[in-house]
Amino acid sequence: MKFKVLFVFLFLASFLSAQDFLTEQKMNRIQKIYDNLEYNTTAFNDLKKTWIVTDPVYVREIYNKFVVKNGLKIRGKKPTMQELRLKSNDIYEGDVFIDVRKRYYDGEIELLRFFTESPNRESDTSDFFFDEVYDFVYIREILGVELYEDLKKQFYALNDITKTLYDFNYQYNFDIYLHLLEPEMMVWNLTTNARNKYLVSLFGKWGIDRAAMPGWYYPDYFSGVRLKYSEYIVNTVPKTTYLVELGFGIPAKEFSMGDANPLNARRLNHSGTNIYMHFIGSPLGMITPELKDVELDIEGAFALTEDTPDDVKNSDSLYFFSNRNYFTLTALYPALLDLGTAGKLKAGGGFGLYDVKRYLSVPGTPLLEAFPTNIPGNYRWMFGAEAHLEGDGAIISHKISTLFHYNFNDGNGFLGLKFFVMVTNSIGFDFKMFSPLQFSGSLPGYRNDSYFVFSPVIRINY
Amino acid sequence: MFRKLFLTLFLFMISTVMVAQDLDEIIKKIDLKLRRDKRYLNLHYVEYPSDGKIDPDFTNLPRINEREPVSLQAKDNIVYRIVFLKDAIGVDSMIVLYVDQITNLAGGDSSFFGDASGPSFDTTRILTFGDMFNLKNNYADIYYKFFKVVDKFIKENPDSDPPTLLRINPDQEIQTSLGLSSRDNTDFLNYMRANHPHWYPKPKVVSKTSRRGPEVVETASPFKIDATPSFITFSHEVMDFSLGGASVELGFEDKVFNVLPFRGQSVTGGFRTLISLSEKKEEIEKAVMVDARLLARAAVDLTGITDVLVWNQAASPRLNISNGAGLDLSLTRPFGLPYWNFYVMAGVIDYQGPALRFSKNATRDVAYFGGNSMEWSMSFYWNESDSYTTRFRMDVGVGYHDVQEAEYAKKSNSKISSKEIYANIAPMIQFHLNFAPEGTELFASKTKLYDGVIKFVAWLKLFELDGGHQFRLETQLVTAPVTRKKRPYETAGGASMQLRYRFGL
Repeated sequence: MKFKVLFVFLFLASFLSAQDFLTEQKMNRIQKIYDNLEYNTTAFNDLKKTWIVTDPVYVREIYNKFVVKNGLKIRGKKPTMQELRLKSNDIYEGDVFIDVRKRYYDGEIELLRFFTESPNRESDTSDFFFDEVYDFVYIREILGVELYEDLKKQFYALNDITKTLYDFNYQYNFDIYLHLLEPEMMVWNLTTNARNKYLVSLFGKWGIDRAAMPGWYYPDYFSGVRLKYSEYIVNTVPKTTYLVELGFGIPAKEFSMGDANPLNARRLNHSGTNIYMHFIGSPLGMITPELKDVELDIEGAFALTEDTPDDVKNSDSLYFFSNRNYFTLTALYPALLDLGTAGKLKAGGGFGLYDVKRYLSVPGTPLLEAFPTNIPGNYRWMFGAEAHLEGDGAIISHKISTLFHYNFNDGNGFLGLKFFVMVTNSIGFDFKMFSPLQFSGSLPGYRNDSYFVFSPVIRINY
Repeated sequence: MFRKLFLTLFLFMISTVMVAQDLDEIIKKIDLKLRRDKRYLNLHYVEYPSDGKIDPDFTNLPRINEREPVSLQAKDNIVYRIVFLKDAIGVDSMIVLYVDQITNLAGGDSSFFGDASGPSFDTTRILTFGDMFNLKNNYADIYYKFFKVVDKFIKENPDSDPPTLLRINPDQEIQTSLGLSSRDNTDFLNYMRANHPHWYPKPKVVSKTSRRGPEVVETASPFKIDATPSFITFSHEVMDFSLGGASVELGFEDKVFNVLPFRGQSVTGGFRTLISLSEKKEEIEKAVMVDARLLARAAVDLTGITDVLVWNQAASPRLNISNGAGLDLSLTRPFGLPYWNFYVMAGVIDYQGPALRFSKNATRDVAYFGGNSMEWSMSFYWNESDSYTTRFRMDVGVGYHDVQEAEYAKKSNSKISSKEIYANIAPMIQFHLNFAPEGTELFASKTKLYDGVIKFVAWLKLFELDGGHQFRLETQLVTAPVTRKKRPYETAGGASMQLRYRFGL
């Protein structure tokens, strides 16, 4: 008898189990059909309009609708009355909030999720409360049309947590870089293999940072043509291998920003046409592979002509200083240290020389009169060291630099600090400051006590 | 022992019932969604029958929830829409979801009003998803017949997708996070068509009168006009030629000198021609185009009539702009470079009897003359998104102008002496913003900084009459120098406002 009963039991159990299995299979299939009815916008989930309903009374309204219509589930199962009572305590305490997300193309609510910050939360997730409710039709069915439309209108207390779009990728259609001290306008580009770019730009440059004569303290505004070679452009920031600039100096007007202190006015004047040249590259790798990462930066400006008093246009006799030639050679190691999000450390050093002449301009005389100095050829030799911390992020890119400059002939030194920051590669600020070091003593007449320049930056890159 | 066994069996049965309940619930959810979601359903359909014959198996189709069986009918005014899901993730085959019966009430016997009432359709869901699910599980041969109808349609039309229920249009709502800039002349042409006072060619607009009606090509007006009190352009189709088109203009404005309309004491007339240098003239989006204006400027005395013609709120003018002749050129991306603009005006100053002169001292007067001017710039265009609603342009370049000062004895029109008081090249930057919701230009502005002075020009569309007569309100503002002190020939600035009429552009 027992045997028969056991047999019947096993038969029934296996039959029911098979039935159960088939039903489960149907459930899975039908769930997949349900999940596939809507146009799939998974790729935009993080960009969809999302907010958290924080108004406790409004949260109760919505919660109650779900309770009344028995529309909530916990891990796929309808909650018991006991579970609902327990969880309602969180509602009473005002610890429950609602995550709401809209569909990407038509603004209907596609997801509604209750979550809590109270101790009643489940242990496996930090804020689990009930299963998410998907599908705007079902949500509207539960809430009723009126409450559903109200929920969309966002007239209650809420926190908008929609992800803001931010990113930048370097583009090559055009690039306008509006910067008072270092403007650039890319006008032409060419690719010769799969990923490289030759870029031609018009550029401007105001000041010689390595000689501690930044921005508007320098009398010439160098402008000309820049050729840049990037060997690999897929990355957000292209790796520039070579840069060549050729230009000439345009007399720049004094730019004091309303500085009332005449001691801080510019001490150098333009005295002739000059030609400007600049090269950045890593040619040492051609000599020995060990030096392939060392970047050479060679920069110079050389006077071609000398102005006359007519060009200076002074009405009374005028003494002034002028820098006519300079040359710097700097070797830099581009990726000395990778400091993660803080950026990469680039450091190096070099030497250079520049001349400073003292002129007298007497109106009506044919030529400027140059005064002799105790420095042969008026050339000052200098030594410099510099370090740059450079980082590029999707929101903020920055470059923080320190420069040390020591002048052997004048026996003085300057320490420079440069701070450059850009937000989403479109708007930013550049700031440069140079101060003499303590051992410098009294500074020569062509020098200012300190230098401070800055510029807002706007970049339009498509 | 028996109790435990039966209890276990009972629990088994309960769980089966619960799963079945869940199944019912989700079927209801699907049916609800299929009925209510009108935009997002990524479903397709085929219409049945295509040949007017109904498969005999489509009779007495069983339905759930104790509803009467239904039969498909072969009638002229009835068509069945078999809706199905394809390409679903995780589902290996196509799924037939439901069947709608669409009855053309106007075309059937039951219509009292016949065709006079126009087409009217009644849609009834004769087989819901629940019914179809039941067919699939319990009447597989019938379900398979529906499946075959859909499958046959897809196989017979391999190159076209079956009609869709999707009412959003993701292909036309593509968004980009970074905006865009066209690689051809699209942005340039969009800007010029909305703002340039001269005509730029437009593609022929084709509109359909009805779903099956003939295509109608909108013909352009034979003449085009853009007129404000201070500037007018005109062209007629007889002025078109094989390489492009031509037009004429007359105006009281100046491109380089920072003066308001009528304030420069000069009138400029010109002849403009637009030439395409490309072989295929119709492909203006890709063509290299030259927009050239030959200009002649004459010094005239406009004192006294300025405020009659346009609303002006400005300091009294101080500059006499001279006679001159010039050229204004725009090129679309020559050699892959950005858009180029070049303007030059050579001035010939007639010092005799200037319109504006000022007392210098008890015996002398002084007058200021604007002579030569030049402007070179490159233009860059970009858009906020591919909807082209917010469009931007930036011109970056340099400008030049010179100004002479002449002295006169009181009550004498002949100069005693003259000297150049200003002649300089200065950077120029100009930012343009166009707002065109749904492709209709509504507002535009341009802000120019040149020689330390800001010049702002904006227009707002007021209305458009039938036939394309468009009216805009246009305002101009010139500031006093913002980065330097005012020179003697300059004013504290001012503003003007005028109505702008455009037709055929």
